[in-house]
Amino acid sequence: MTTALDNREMLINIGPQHPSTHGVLRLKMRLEGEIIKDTEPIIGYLHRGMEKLAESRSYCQYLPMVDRIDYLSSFFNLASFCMAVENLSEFEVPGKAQYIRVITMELNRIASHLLWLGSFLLDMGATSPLFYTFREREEIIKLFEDLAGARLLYNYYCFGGVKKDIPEGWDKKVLEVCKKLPKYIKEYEAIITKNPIVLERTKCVGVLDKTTALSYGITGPNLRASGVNYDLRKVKPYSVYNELNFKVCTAQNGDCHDRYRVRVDEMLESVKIIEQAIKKLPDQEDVLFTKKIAPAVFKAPEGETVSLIESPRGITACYLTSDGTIKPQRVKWRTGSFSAVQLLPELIKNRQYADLMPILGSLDIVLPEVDR
Amino acid sequence: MKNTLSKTISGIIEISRGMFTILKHLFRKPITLEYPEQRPDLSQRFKGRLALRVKEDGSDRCSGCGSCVKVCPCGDLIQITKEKDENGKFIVKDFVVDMGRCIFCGNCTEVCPSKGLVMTNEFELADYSRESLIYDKKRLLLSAEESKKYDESN
Repeated sequence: MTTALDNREMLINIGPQHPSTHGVLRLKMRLEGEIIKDTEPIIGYLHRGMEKLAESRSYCQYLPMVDRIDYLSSFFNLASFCMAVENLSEFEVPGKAQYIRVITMELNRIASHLLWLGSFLLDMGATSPLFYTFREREEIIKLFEDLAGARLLYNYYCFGGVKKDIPEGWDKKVLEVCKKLPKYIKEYEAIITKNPIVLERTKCVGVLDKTTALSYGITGPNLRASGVNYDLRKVKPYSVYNELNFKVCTAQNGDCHDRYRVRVDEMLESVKIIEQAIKKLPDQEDVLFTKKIAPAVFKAPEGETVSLIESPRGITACYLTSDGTIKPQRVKWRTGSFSAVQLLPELIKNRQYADLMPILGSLDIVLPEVDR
Repeated sequence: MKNTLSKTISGIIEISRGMFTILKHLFRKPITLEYPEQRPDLSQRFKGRLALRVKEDGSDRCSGCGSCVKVCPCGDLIQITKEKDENGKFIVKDFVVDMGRCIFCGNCTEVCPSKGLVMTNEFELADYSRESLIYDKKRLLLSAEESKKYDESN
């Protein structure tokens, strides 16, 4: 990047406020005509100091802030942090709370993938799918509003369980949405999957091979699209995933179209998981958390732990060190998007400028998660 | 040549299949909510503006214990001033919430032992200045009927 420019090359700057960089990502690019020679992603425009904030707040004060790490999949961040604290305090989450967690997480995965699908197509110039995906996302968000009272940042899990019971008739509403979703996804596929323009722009574009993906630490759908069958829900089941029957969606080529394929298949799998979990949801059990904790004075025992979760954008890990006081000593977050954004220069090198948007879109980068 | 031809034909078929799907939406019911005229149907648990409930006789539910202050992630968002009345009992003189800095997490309402602090369904909080977003006790207090409405939500 620092080398002197050839007189045929030019240096251009994209962002930080560019409509299709999904947030505030800045890219410094060296172009030769239409060919991208070099890219340097510059991150940090959304840095809020999430890890440092934890050190000055008690566990319960930090809990709502965890939502904001990745606002499109809040439940995963909450679950990751709660699981870390539960590991330390040796809390056993009761069955009903576990199932509620799985249902909300999988619904959140669908909502996140739907938003990704809409914006991915929008990046390539298709407007209608965005409206359709937002229509379905709205139904899921409405369910969350009934459950947690908020549409995006829920603050619904607590250490050792969940905060409130499901409202009356909520499980039926979930099943209704689950029934509708495969029909809607079929509609998207009719518009998108075999559309010649989409195929032209995504097939064999941004090919990510197995070794590169593994060496960059890519996780989640991006890794599975490259043919690596690795899903934490299967490999190292947390919560009650080992009691549920689902398959891991993979693809072989690792191009943009495969990444689209994997995410669409994952949505359908999530629907199946939710339907099973609703069936297994204990009816008359009122225990929602292990024990009532006093939020203002809650102390996690001394020690360190790490909790791993398969979020829509890869593995979300929360490393937590406690010194036995009411405040965590150190919290470290590892998120999937951070690895994906480092991969971008590799994928985009020596490609046309027009390929930038499908590649950036297909990696599903959420900038607040990158910068934290 | 043959390849191009088959690609063209399949392209036309696939595009028309997609267009047909989009066309079908013309005959569906619109899902848009004409917002200022039509109001969204909010859930009972909705986390909107903070408010103070009163007892049925109109006296304060809040005893000024300060639990809400301790769990608030935003530090000094809630400020409670207490004073002694003529019987030597503590009463809450002022209860100030800076709604401009509130993140609507609901921590404060969950810990409230007397269920005095609640979150209402009000969500239109835009204002012209930062100062007018600082709510004092007078603006936070609900009437006795309104207090009943938020009875079940917790």
